Amino acid sequence: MRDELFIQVQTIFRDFFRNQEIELTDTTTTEDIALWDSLTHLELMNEIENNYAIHFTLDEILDFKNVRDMVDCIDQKLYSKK
Amino acid sequence: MPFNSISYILFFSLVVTIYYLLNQNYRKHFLLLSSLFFVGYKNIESIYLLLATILFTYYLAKKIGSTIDIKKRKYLLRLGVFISISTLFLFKYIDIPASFGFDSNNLIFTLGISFYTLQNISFLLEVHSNRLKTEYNLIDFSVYSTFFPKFIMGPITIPQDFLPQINSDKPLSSNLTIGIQRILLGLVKKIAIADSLAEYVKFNFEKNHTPVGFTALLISYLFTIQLYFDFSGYSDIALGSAKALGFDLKENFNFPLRSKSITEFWRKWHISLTSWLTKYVFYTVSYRFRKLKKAAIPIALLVTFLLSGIWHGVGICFFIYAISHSLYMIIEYFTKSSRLEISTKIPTKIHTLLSIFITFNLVSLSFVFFRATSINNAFHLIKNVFSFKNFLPTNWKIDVFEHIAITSDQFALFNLFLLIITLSLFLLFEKKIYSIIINPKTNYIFIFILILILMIMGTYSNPEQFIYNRF
Amino acid sequence: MKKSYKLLLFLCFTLMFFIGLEKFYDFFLKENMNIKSSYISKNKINAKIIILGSCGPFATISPKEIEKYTHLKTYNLAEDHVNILENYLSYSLYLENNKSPEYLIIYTSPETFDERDNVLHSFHFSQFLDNPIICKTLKEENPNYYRWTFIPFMKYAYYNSKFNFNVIQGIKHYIKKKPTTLQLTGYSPIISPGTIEGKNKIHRITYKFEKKYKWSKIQEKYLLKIIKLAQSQNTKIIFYESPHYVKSNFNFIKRAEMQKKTKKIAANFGIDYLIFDTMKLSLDKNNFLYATAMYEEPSIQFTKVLSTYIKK
Repeated sequence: MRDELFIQVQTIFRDFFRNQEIELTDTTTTEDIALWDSLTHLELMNEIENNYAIHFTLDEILDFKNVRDMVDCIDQKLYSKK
Repeated sequence: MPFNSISYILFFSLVVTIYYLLNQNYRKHFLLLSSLFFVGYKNIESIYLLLATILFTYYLAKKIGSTIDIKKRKYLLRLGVFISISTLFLFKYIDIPASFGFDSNNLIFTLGISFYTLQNISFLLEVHSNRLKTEYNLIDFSVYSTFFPKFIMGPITIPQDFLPQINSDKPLSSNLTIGIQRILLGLVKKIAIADSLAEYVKFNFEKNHTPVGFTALLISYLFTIQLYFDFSGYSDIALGSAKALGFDLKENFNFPLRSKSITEFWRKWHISLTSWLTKYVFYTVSYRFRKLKKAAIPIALLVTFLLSGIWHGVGICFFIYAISHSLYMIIEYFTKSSRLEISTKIPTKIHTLLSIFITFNLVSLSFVFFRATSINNAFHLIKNVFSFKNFLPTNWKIDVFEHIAITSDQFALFNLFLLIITLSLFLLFEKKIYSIIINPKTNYIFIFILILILMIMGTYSNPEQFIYNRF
Repeated sequence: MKKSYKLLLFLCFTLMFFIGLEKFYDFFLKENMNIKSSYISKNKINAKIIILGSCGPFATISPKEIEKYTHLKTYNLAEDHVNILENYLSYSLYLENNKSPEYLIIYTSPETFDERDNVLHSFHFSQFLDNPIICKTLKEENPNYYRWTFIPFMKYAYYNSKFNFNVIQGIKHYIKKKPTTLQLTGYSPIISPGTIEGKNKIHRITYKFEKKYKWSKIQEKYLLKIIKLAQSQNTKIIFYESPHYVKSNFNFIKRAEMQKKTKKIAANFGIDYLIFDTMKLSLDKNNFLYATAMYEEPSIQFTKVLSTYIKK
């Protein structure tokens, strides 16, 4: 389930940054992707929220240290929705 | 006790010696005492003010932490932030101490207030959002709040980075080597390079002496370099002092003059302030406006930079400085993907050099407003830079070098060249130098070279204040 | 153990290095013949007439002109931007290596005793700190500097921008052994700007400044020291004040009061005080770079008058 989610998120990233070469891992951070910085971060979060019809709070967004934290958070939200 | 003074060196040596002799359990108490001495050695009033702020913030933070009711928590947080900011306004902008007959330059409490107010606010915010997981007591919080290496000019430290270090065991001797090497490097940057540049910059920034064309541009470059060496030199001394005591503070600079864009520049320049503003201002504003999609970012950038401008000081110059950087960033934001496309078409080396050159120029032009004593002076200099008709000097010796060196004396030109060669070497090899510094193996040759530069080029007869002392 | 041994070795080496570097600077600064203090302690001048003072005499009194009338060897010991205190040091240094002169002519205009001119350029004398008089004076008058001079090389590090170039120049003078002419007579005239544009502008700006004088106790103290030193060696002292641009007088508040004090000192020690305010030269502003400093041409005319007086 989580692996599937991971691949979906990767697709969102690839579409958002218009770069099909992006490979996400658990430890990927903003440092690792050229266009991913604080300016694009919230837009990207918005994209993910729309995709899964979920809602991040600002504190949650600030807490993400890497892709693992983010995917865990999405996973949790989707689970609790069911 | 400014960092570039003998009294600081003596104070620091004494603190380090006692610190090493003490048992780990008592070290934090000793640090607190030393920091209080650092703040209050000139006037005891600073300590009273500081203790009042500490107690207020500490008990408020505890109260927020133990309150469950979300509304009440929010109310307490707002109260804390409001009072912190009010104190900042009273002491920094209205200069309350002056009306009681204090010279705010001597009141250490006021000197550090811009920096640790931000720190206290971040403490409250982190407690409020439950991000701070470390246990802390009044002593721990006081050490965090007053730690003398960062008290006057930062780096602004968030509690998660600092609190866990207070009670942990630290390997000391390797830290001491790195610390001392770093303090030496900071002193060279400040006393030998920034202070020597200060004289030229000061003279050439005066309206009567403003140069024209290329020379004016060169002067704006020199100020950017001066500010970089001044502030990063300060940060080196701060981080070095902290390191010698076993603490790792946040790096404040990451070779910013090599940035390829303004966005990158702000990730690498005064990092502790930028990340504070990004975390608490930029994200909050852009989150609030995110329904506006693309428009959210420009609004957030504008708000963030305006706040940063006000934090530096009230005035039209800082306003223009803030506006110009938000404009740079907004333009960069909207041209991001097209710029990435262009970069693939140009050879990487050329693209890198060109980007660094353009970024450095944009930064230097904006720093004219940061440095100038009045808006007229700033515009005058900018106007002179853009006097294309006689941009290139007719006589390089007279129009460029003698103008910058203030006189045409041989020795003045010699000093200018010596300085330019030294600072170029430091800029070109800054990454190499940094790697030597953070290496725990003592590098005696390097230490010797630093001492030699300090002795031959340092400014001792009339030391300059650190530029960021004003903020 | 090995580590502390290394550290000790490093400290010893550094210490020795800077002691050596200090000696190196000492030696080559004394070889730099463009520095007046070095020139007078290296060369035997043995002049009969010595001129002392600040930029006034430095730029106006040509020893050659005086020699023409008096047939006595003359040397101009004055220097730009210095005051009586530094004159005292130069004169003591001069006497170490030279016979005492017959006449000592001191420029004592009210400007000389203004408190604003209390700056002491200690770096003019750093290479002579082993001289007891210079050492004592710097200790008293510039404690901020003197305090650090016990650290090896710190006496140069403190004012390093003033030395690095001079040392290199000193090495050049030492190797070439060619005498430089700069300090030969100690005199350096101000060349009249002639047709340089904006010449009149310089005048107008300069005369607008209002000066309020305040008597400096320090300068007085060292003037007395010079007097005692000279009189103990039977040198005859003459005070003088060169012409200054008369029309600027009204801006110079308290000038007369200052003059009175100097006159009193002169009277106490039986010294002649010559004032040339009334000379025709003082009327034409084109003779002046600023109110108290004349260009080369008029200053030679003035030197003639002064020489005739000395001759008498």
